[in-house]
Amino acid sequence: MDEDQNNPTTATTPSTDQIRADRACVGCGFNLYGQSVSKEPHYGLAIARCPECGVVAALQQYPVMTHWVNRFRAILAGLYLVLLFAFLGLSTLAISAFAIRGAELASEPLGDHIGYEWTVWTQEQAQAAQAAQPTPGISQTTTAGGGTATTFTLNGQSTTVTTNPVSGPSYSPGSYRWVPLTPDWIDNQLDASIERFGGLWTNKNPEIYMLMLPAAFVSLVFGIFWSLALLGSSRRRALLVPLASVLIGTAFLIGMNMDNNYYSWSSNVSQHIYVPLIVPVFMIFSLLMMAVGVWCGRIVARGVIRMALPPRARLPFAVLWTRDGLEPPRPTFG
Amino acid sequence: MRELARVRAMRDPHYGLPIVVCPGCHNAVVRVRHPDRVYWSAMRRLRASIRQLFLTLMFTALCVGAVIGMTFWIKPAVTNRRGQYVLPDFAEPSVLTQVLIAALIVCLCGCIARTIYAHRHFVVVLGLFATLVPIFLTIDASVGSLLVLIRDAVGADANITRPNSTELTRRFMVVLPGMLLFAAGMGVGTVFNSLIKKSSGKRITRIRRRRRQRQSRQD
Repeated sequence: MDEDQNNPTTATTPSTDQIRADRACVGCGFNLYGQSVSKEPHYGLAIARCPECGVVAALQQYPVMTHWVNRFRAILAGLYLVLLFAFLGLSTLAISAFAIRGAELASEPLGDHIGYEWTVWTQEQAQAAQAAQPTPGISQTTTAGGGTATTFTLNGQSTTVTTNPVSGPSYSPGSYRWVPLTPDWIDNQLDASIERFGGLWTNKNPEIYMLMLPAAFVSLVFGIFWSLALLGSSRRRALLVPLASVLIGTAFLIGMNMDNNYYSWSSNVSQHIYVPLIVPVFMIFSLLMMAVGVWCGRIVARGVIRMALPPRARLPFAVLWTRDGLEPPRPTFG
Repeated sequence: MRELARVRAMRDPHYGLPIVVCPGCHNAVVRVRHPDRVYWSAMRRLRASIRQLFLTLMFTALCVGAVIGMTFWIKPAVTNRRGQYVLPDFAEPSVLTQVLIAALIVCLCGCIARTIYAHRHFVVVLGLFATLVPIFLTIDASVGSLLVLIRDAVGADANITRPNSTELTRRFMVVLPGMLLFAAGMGVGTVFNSLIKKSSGKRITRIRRRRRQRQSRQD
């Protein structure tokens, strides 16, 4: 061993490990911080050589008392990961719920419009069918004013009754949202009806802007949570998780909105049209608010801890300071 | 081979390392603590800090909630619907009890607030609660006004209910004297804090004396 100490060229197994603490060389007192750790060939001990005097420093190691220490750490890390995934699901669900409610709210005027037009169309169809099947003794003609002249003939005597033009059903918001639409109307009339409705964005229900207030609050809270839960990463990296949440939510909602045969109610049809328009807007808004939360989360947490805890009790939370390159709180008053 | 556990470590002047010199062979070693021990003591400190943070936030919420609750409870007895102070009907025992209980609870809240924020200056703690109480006292009005602002800006047609100005005036008419009582309670809390400090100081002195006596007996 003495030979080894005096001969720095003795073959040792190189290692990528380095000394990561202040350790004085026993020969010259040089700080061995950053020196690479190798295994000496005779006993297989981990050693580091002083670059100044070449003396070997035997590295004291703490043997693991039981394998359960590492297993316990792995279990804890796994549990934390599961918790983070659960919160990812929760945040995705929450922002998706706001987005889908926004689409539902925005689509209400279109739902009413479609339902109303379908009702008018069915009445016209019924009248046309009635006119196409004349009853013996009764004949109908259209007058110049658009009304109907019905002539009844009985025992050679004719009587004519003139009626005013038929007016459509009265339009009132909310009355036609739950009208079941027929497939032939959807195929032939829906596109024209949407065109008659005008711009989808301009004619949406403006109440969706009021829904953005609670959505902003919830997104902000989730942003703060991610900022604190992902302390291992920088704030810019932590933003990737809300981004993933938003992308998953958007893909899920747009995917669920794929055309199928179940959209038969006017509200469902209108919602189906509005989802690709409103969901991305809500998701981008949620992402922005979560970004604000991620950015200010650690600042808020530091403020709360500084206010609520005495200086000594702040020390275990020093990571909130050191992670952002700030001076950790000092354990002294003042 | 000597046991160096009881040898006092001297601070190295150059690196600041705790150096223990063997009294037999004069070899020097650096005293290090076992990582497991360091880890668990750090965990204990973290647990204590989290517990303290939780208790502080919980008591803060409790005090703010209690002050607001008392404000709403006492409001009909001390103000009328026109937003004026009225003399409570002290002839009725229930009203007197109500006023006394409310005043006592607000005082108690002040005392608790001062105790949990003992590390902070009196004015800072009073400022904190003087900010939190009005914010949460008018939260329905603030949110309602914000919603009305958005509704009017976008031209939506939604029915939003929010408290009127007389109602808000009545709340502030009650909470202002309430905050004075709260500050009085904080004064009591300051006295209480100094008593705790004194008694804990004496306790630490007692513990240290006992340890020294035990050590001297062992030696």
